Amino acid sequence: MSEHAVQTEASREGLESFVYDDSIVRMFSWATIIWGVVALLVGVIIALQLAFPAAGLGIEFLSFGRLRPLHTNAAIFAFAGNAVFAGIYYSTQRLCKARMFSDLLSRLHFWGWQLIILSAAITLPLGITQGKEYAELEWPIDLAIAVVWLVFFGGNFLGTLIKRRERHLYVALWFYIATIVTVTVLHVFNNIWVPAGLVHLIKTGEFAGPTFLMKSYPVYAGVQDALMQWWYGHNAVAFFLTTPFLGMMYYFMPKAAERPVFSYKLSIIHFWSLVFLYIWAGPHHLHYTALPEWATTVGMVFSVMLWMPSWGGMINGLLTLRGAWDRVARDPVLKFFVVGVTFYGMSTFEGPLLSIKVVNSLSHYTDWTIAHVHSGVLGWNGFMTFGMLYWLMPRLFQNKLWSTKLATMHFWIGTIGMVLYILSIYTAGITQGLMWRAWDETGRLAYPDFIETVTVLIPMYWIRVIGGLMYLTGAILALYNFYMTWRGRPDKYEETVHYAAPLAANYDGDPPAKSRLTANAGFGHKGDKFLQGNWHRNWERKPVRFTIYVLVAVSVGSLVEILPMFMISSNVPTISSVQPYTPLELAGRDIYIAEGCYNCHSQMIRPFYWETKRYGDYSKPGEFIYDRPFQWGSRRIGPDLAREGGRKSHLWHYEHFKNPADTSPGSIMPRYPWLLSKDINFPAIQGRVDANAMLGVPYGDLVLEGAAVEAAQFQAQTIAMELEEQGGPAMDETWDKQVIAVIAYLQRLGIDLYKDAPVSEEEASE
Amino acid sequence: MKFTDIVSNMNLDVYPIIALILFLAAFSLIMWGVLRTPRSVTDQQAHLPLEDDFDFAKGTTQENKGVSHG
Repeated sequence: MSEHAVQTEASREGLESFVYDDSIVRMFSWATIIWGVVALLVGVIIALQLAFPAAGLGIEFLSFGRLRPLHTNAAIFAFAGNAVFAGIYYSTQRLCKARMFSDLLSRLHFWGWQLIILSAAITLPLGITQGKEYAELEWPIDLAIAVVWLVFFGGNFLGTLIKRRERHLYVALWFYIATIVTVTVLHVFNNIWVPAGLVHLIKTGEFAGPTFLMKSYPVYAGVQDALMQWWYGHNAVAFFLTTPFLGMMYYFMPKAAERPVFSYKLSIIHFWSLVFLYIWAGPHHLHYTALPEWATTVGMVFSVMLWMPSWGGMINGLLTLRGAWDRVARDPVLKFFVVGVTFYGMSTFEGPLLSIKVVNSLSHYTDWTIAHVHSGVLGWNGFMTFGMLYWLMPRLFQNKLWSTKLATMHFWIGTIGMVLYILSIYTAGITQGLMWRAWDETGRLAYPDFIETVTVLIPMYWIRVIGGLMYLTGAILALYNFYMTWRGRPDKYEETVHYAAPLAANYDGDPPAKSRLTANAGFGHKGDKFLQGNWHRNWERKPVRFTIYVLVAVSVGSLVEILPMFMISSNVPTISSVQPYTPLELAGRDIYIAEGCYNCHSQMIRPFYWETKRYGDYSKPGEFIYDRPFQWGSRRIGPDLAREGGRKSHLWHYEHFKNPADTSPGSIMPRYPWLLSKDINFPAIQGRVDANAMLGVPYGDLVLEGAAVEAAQFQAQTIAMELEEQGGPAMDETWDKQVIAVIAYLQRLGIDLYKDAPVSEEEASE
Repeated sequence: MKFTDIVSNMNLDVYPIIALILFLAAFSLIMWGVLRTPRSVTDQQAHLPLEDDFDFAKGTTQENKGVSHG
């Protein structure tokens, strides 16, 4: 027991003793920095592939489309996720004056989360994905996330709040509550699916391969799926990358600055404003798409309203350093925090800016969005994490930081790397946007060949590689510094025993407010008591009730946007000529999803002259009613494919997959040689069709046993024959290869709009 | 008749406006509640992170060097 903790027995009377569980914080801290290095390394690898496409080596597990989701998932859920857990476990125990509710739950949470990350690291390079950004992980992993997040983490956290010894819930804990509640809601509702492989196995007893066993289709389709996905996607940023980090900011910045937060009242207003506003903002990701305009306008208005609380929070964070700015020059922890909070301010200024429709028309689908995301994750999340780790590690290892100089070097390398990265990608994004919309004096596109708008970006992509490498180098320096600090740890960690009184069970809050009025009726007195505001302080002491209020706040915004989309049929007018994908096209679509083509290609033509001129008629909501999941994408470093069907020959596509540079000189698309050699999984096709039929797709007799497989084989042979006629390889060599299924899918894209509506038997007989 | 048909035929134009009013009402109440909180109370609450631990990096408990601005 440390000297400072020794108290007289008399003073401890009526107090409970407890020890904080710092080993779980050490575990999550190590996981943070190790996974951080992995996430950044994968990021550098894929950045290199954009500048130098041959770096993918033609290996399927290293292709850009498969590795990019691994990079984003590792950065968000492994690096930032473990940082959040480290910060929450450390601060919650201290703010509650209580050890975590259950050591077992803490360990189950830690190992369960690492297992989820490992599963992601295995399945994503294998092409096992739901094909929805930041929600790529397939259904068995989704189930594991739900259990680990809600039961192990949420249960443990709430249990700690309930057995706490500090009456007031400090504002950081509110941000953690909002994180846990909202991420649960987002994860559950964005991951409602039919596990196609499992259903097929149960129904037929046929095992159609491990990859298909993990395949699922979302219950939502097209426009509705897009709305759900970006409601999830945006709020994942809000409630996974923002609110927990704000909680950590409100705890660790005062600790590092050794002074309380500038304005506690402002922090409360910051909290409620974010919780109320953020949940509405998601549809701004879908401006000018087939999503109804009212929904995107609501998203834009609430995004702009977010400016105020976000900047209130940033200013509150920076002003917490009042009187301590001299230390910023000396202390790397404060350096990281200052730049981190500044980046919070910058990216929360830029986010609302990008949500304004006219700005979005330029920025959307360009690398501007990528730059915005990286300024948030590298600047805000990354630097807050490093600041927190540099503050935590000496305390956790009970040893001085091995090298402050190295930490300062990390700060400067990281900052310069980040600036290089972001500025180059801003330049790339704005260049893309301006080139896409440029036309000449004759009214024709100035850059009709899409490749022109990509090759011009290559120098910027090289600068990005250098910037990314510098940021990665900084993280490796941090890892080394932490390792050396850990090596100097004591043989046995000292565990300070703390003492605090338990909370009285019969506490009823502050003394009730007394009416200050004299001549009013009963209602007036009640009103005056209410206006004195004691009720909010009472909320702040009741974690369960507080959690329910947060849930109500986020639910209102969600329901207002989502319910009408599902309940008002006129929001998605159907088009009679739009028919379900054939079984082979469906299989090809699933390969398109597995290869992560949506990471570079969109399937959404916006109603702009320069888009319809380049790609064809703008996309209609009714065109996507069979798209599970939707594949609108969020960036274009390849052209939009919404109307790709029939534009090029089968042979062109075949040669393009073999080596894109042969058909499109200058293309940065990777080679896909494995599509030319891997067989189509025909037995699984029946399961794919059956699962879609379960979700309401009118497949008719194709659900009969073997019917879908037979239809797929027939169409594959037809396409292979046409390919041979166009000068391609012999039909026997290609008809059962995956490339044929993908070609079938691509040739179908966007053509239904121009077909005649199918004629019913009654109409035909007339 | 499906539930979606019923909802489709309801005039929901006022729906987002009601939601906005609910938001503003709740936000105003919370603002009021927060602004009415006495300074002494928020000062005490703001100091919670600073009174919670022994600092191994410094060998002391953390000292409070500032005040919260409410």
